[in-house]
Amino acid sequence: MNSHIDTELLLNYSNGNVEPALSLAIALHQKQCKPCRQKIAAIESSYGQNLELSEASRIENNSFERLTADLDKLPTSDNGVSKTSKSLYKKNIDIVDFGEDDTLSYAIAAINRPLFNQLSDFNYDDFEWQKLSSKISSVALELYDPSFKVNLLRFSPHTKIPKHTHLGKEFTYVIKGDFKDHKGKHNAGDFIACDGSDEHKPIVGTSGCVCLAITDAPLHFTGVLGPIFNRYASY
Amino acid sequence: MNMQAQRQVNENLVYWSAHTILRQPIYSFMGEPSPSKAEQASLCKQYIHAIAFEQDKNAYKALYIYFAPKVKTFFKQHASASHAEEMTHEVFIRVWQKAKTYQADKANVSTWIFTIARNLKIDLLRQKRIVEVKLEDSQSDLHIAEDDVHEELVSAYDKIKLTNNFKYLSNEQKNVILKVYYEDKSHQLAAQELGLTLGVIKSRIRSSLKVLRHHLRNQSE
Repeated sequence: MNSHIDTELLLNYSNGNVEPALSLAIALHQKQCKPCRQKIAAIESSYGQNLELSEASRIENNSFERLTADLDKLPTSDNGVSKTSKSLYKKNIDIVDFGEDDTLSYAIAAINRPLFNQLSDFNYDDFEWQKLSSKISSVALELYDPSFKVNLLRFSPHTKIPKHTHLGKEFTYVIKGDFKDHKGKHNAGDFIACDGSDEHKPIVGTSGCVCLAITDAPLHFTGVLGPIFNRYASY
Repeated sequence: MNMQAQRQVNENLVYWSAHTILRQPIYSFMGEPSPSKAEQASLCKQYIHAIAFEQDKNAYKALYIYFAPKVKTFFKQHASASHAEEMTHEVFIRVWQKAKTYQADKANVSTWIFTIARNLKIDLLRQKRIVEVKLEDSQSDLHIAEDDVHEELVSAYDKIKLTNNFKYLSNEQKNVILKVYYEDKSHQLAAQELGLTLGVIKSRIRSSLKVLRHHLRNQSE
C-alpha cells in the first residue's frame, strides 16, 4: 500500500514548522518515496520564490564588511567546507556538517541527523532493546520533543496487536518488514498517520516488523478516559 | 564546464559586476528593461559558481545585497530584529562555505538559500526547546521514572490496566496524577490548584509513578 503524506503536512515540513519527531519520520519517508520527494522539492522551490519576492528588511550598516571579516577568519580547507565557524549560534548548537548532502538537506534539526542516519541505515545492534513482551521490544528515543513520545518498536513475525483506537495522533514509519491493518498492507518506507477514528488490530508480516512510532504525549487521555478516572477519583 | 561556457560565465560576471547589484524583481526598476525571472535565476547560479570556484567576493556581495534583506525578513517572523540579523549573517557564512555543494540542475539559488535559512531556523527553534526541556528536567530528577511509566501509558491496551491500579494510590497521590496526566495541567498549575508547593507535587508524582510501575510490572510478568 502506498501511503503518501498529505500536502498540508508537507507544506509545514518544508517550512520547518513541524515538530522534531514528526519531521524525522517525514524525512525518512521522503528518502524512500519519490512522489513525496518531488512534491517537497516543488514546495521548497515555491518557498524560494516567495523568499525572493518578500519584502526587504533593512540590513545594519557595515554588515557586509563584518561578514567578509568573518569569512577571512574561517578555517580554509580544500573542499571549501569547514567544520567550524564563528557565530552567535554555533557556540550553542552542535552543528553537524552535512557535506555534499547539504543541497538536498532534509528539514530536520542538525542535531537529529545522526539519529536520522542510524534509522535510515538501520541495524538492530545499534539500539538497546527493552522487552515489553515475548513478541514486542522497544527503544525509547530522546528527541527532546515534548509534544511526542518516540519509540522504536520491534515485533516478531505474525504478532497480532490487540484491537485498539488512537486517542490522540499516532504516526508510524515502517523501517523494516511489514504489517497489515484495515487500511491495507504497510511496507518498509511507508508513513502512516492515525487518529481517534482509526480502530485497528494490526497483524505483523512473515519477516517481523520494526517501526518508528510517534505518539502524542499521554496528555491526550484527557476527556476520553475522564469517566473512568472520575470514578476512581471519587473513592 | 567547457572553455566556451566558462568564458560565457566570465563575460557575464564582468558585465554584471559592473552593476554590482542584482536587479530587484520587475517592479523595482520601472522604465528599465528588467531581466526575466529565468535570466535572474541563471545569473544567481553563475554567481554561486563564481563563489565556489573563484572565491569571487563581488559575486558574493551581489547575492548578499539581493538576498540578505529578504532572508532577514524571513527570520523576523521568528526572532527579534537583532537575532534576525545574526541569523542572516549565519546563512551567508554557509552560502560561502557550501557554494560548492550547490547543484544548479537540482534547484534555483533562491530555493537553496531558503533551505539553508529554514534549517537554521529549525536549529534555532530546536535549541530553544532543548534548553526548555533540560531546564524542566533539571528541576526534578523524576524524568527517568516518568519515562518508564509513559512507556506503559502509551500503549492503548494498557490503559485500563493502569486505571485499575489507581486503587493502590492514596487519595493525595491520585489527585496529583489526575491533574497532571489526565487534565493536562502543568506541575505548577496542579500545585496552585491543590494548594501545595511544587516540591510536594513532584515528590507525589514520583512516589505515585513508583507504585504504578511496581504493580504494572508485577501484572505483566
